[in-house]
Amino acid sequence: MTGTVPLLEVTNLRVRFPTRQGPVEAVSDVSFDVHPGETVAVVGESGSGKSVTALAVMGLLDSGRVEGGSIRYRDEDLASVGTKRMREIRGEEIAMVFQNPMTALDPLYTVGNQIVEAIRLHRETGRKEAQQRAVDLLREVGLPDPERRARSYPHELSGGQQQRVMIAIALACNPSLLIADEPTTALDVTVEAQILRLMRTLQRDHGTAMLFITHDMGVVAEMADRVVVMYAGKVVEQGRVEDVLNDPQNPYTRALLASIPSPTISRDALMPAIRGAVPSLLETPSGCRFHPRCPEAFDRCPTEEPPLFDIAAGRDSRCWLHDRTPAGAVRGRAAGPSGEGASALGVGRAG
Amino acid sequence: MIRYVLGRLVYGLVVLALVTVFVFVAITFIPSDAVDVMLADTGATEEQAAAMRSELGLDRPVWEQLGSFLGNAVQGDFGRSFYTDEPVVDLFLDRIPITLQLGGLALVIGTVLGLVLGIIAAVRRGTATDGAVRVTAVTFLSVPNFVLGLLILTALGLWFAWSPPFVYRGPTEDFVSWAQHMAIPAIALGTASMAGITRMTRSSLLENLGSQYIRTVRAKGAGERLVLFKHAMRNSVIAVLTLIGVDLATVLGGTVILEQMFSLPGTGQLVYQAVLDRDYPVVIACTIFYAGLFIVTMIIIDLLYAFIDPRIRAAREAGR
Amino acid sequence: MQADPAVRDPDRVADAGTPLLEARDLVKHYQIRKGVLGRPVGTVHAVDGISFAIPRGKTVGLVGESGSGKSTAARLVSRLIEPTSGEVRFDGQDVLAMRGKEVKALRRRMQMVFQDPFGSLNPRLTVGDIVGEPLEVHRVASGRARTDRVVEVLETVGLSGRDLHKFPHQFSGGQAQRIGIARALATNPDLIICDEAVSALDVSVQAQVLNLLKRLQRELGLSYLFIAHDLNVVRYMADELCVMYMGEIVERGDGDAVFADPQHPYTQMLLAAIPGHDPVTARAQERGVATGEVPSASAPPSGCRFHTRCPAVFDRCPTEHPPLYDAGQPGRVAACHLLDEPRQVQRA
Repeated sequence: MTGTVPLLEVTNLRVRFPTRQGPVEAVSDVSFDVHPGETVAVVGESGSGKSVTALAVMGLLDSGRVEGGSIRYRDEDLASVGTKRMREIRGEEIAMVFQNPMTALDPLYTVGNQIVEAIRLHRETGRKEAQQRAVDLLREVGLPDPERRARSYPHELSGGQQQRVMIAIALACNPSLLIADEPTTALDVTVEAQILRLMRTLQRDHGTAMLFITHDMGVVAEMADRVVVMYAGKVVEQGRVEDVLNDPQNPYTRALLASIPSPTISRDALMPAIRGAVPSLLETPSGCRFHPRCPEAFDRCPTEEPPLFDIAAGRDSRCWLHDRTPAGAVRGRAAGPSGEGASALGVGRAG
Repeated sequence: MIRYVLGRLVYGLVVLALVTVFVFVAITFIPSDAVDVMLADTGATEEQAAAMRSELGLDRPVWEQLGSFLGNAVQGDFGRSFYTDEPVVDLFLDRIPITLQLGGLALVIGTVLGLVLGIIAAVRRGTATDGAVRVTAVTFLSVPNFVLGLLILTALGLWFAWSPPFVYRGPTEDFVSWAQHMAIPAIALGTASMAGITRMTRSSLLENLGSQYIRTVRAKGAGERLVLFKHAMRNSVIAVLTLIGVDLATVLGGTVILEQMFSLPGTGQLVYQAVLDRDYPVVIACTIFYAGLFIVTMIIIDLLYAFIDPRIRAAREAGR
Repeated sequence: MQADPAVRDPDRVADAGTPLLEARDLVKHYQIRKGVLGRPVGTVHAVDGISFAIPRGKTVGLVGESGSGKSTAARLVSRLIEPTSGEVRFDGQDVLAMRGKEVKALRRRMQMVFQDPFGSLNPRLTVGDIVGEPLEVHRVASGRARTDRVVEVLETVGLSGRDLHKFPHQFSGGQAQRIGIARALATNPDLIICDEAVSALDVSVQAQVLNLLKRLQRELGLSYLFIAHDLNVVRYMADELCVMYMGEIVERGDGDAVFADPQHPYTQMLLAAIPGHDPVTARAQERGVATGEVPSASAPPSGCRFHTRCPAVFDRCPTEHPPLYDAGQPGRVAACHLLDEPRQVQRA
């Protein structure tokens, strides 16, 4: 993974939204990258900023604005390219599949028309040829009778079929990066399994890189090579999916994984829950944003914001528990002062 | 779909029948009738008046008058004017082109300007332009059309010493004169619908521009023009169409006063005079024609819904 | 929590032997009507002959995908909608024969908690009014007694008297769902129907609410009808699991047993489709068995409704509707002809 040049490199991204109660920072200092052909999952609960991050990459934030950082795609910074260039990139280089297929398609046009539109926005293709390509795409995403389906309107399709159409639209121009924002959350579990399988097959066939936004750790386990865990607008942990899921280092990741009902937990046992509620962006906690809910919080957590500690190769975690040396292990991009007060706790969990 | 249209037509006929009954009943509540008006200040005796009433059929009970009217109406005979003894249909057909010109012009002005302003306001949401458009819209919504007509007339007369022609000439006969004659009443009539359509276009567009399928279109790499005209506009048009239908009624009502004000010999003027004269056959026939026009327009708008929205089409084909 | 004598039903039948709620052959069909005259052109089979029983102090879970009829079933037993046919008994009484006052009394003992915590709470009322409303409606308590009872249930669900005058929007999703549960508890019910009650919550908060529901059951002896689409959640909550497909119960039994050895091919598909949390096995397992989508409820497939998607379909399936066959262990049944076939035909 690390040998190649990243396709997408997000560095210190900040996104703000104006609200009636003042500006709100939905994404704070977020950094991660996606290499060609790999799948990176961004996972988090509501208000974690995962969807905003995806929309920021696409340049599709409605009222929000990128206030800082860069979004490097190949050799361009998407945060600063003009709208015209961004339009060329959307659909052609980076495509997106959304959460709710029922409302993500224009109800007034046939699905064939909507795929043709995606093709002809970027390709000098005749209408006939584009229509043929649309039918081929529908066949590729597994819709039976694609010629007839191309003439269907969205309301004539089931949720799963609509999401297949969305995937066909996204693949229309063979993008290098596919961003999927909770693509199966609105679907039934048997349909979800089919859509995820389809996405993996297509990814393998086309060599597309994927940025997969989800709240579901099961989906992460099934789809991702690497995972970025977000909480309250910050990255709290990232690493290879089997490392993070099997051996979570950050207390939030640990608690989150534990609170998912497993098929084997005894019915008489209590669920290991995280106390408190996901913080509102209007009042993010001081210091470490997770400290009010953290079972392992200590005196340093409410006052100082922990940086992302580089705890192993390709593995980061934002927690003071990793701070075992005065300065050495600390990455430079932390907002707070690093190194000082390291004596507070000598126990590190890395390893 | 054909069954659906037939169904709507049957409904339309029922509505027309109800309108007719309503007008007949309403007329009986008006004190004084055509005979009173005709014989006023002539010193005619009660006997003369009674003879006249019986000649015009006004002495018969209302339900009987209604019955014979309906009987004749289905054969295309809507009676004759009490005064000129001309068939009402001829009177009406002579004058309707002028009213349709005025009303059509007003609706075109209102719709075109309303759409343009609505689109501008929606695209420039939150800016000074948006604010100006919205204030203008509210202002025009609250000024009655005849006041507006009067204001324009006065302003043009005072500042440019110009007034529109007084005698109507058709557009083929003298286009410049026709245009000058029609302009002010059409603008006065059209501004209210313009204001309504502006507001509806703006809010409907904003709603659609914020929807998820628009985000999909943008994610494909589409420019704002495609987003706006192919997707957002078409999805907003249904709400606007409904409003245009309602505006038709308002505009037709407005012609009654404005034709009088600008001496345009249309059906509006005809109705106005007929009401003053208690010339019931004319009043009744005009009301029915107006209602019919309105019903036909509504059916056309209904068909346009189905043409635009496949979901409405599907629902109708399923008979729901 | 102590039971308030004021809210105890005097004529409550304390027969521990009969189930608290029993549904027998419940059917709900909706007619699709066409045209002005509304002549019926089809029938939607929302719920088609389901039976289940909830013992006192126990939880029965209904799982299924959208359109399986699980929420309709909940509405039928609480008489929010009228069944086409069937029988519902609550504490021995015939629910469907109840009229006006009796229905009201039933509602007091059978409360509901819904999916959307904010959508089901009136934003203009304070927490005190929301939770106290059922007390007023059922004339259980008013004035001072009402406030005391509201504070009591708020504390039971982990909120406090300080929240009495707050409005729903001042709470997080998890807290709002606690308010919904407090409202359901106010009249001291015997049965709470949880219709996707934790589905809209974040995972970290969902666990808290599940724990709360478990604790309330232990402390108050509540029975639950627990409906969710997340199989793991239902398995954790329910003593008995009913798997629904297209308006029918296709498999029923102890949750652990069903998970360990699902008998109906649909249950097997459903369980295989749950993503595991171990990346290695999640990849290997491929969730490959799931195929097709739920057919239209207005034209359900003939015979076994699952036969169009079933990997183990054979000649009997499209023609013969399978009854609930005994599936070996006590209390386990499944509606699949494979259970009726000689061994060699099975898994052929």
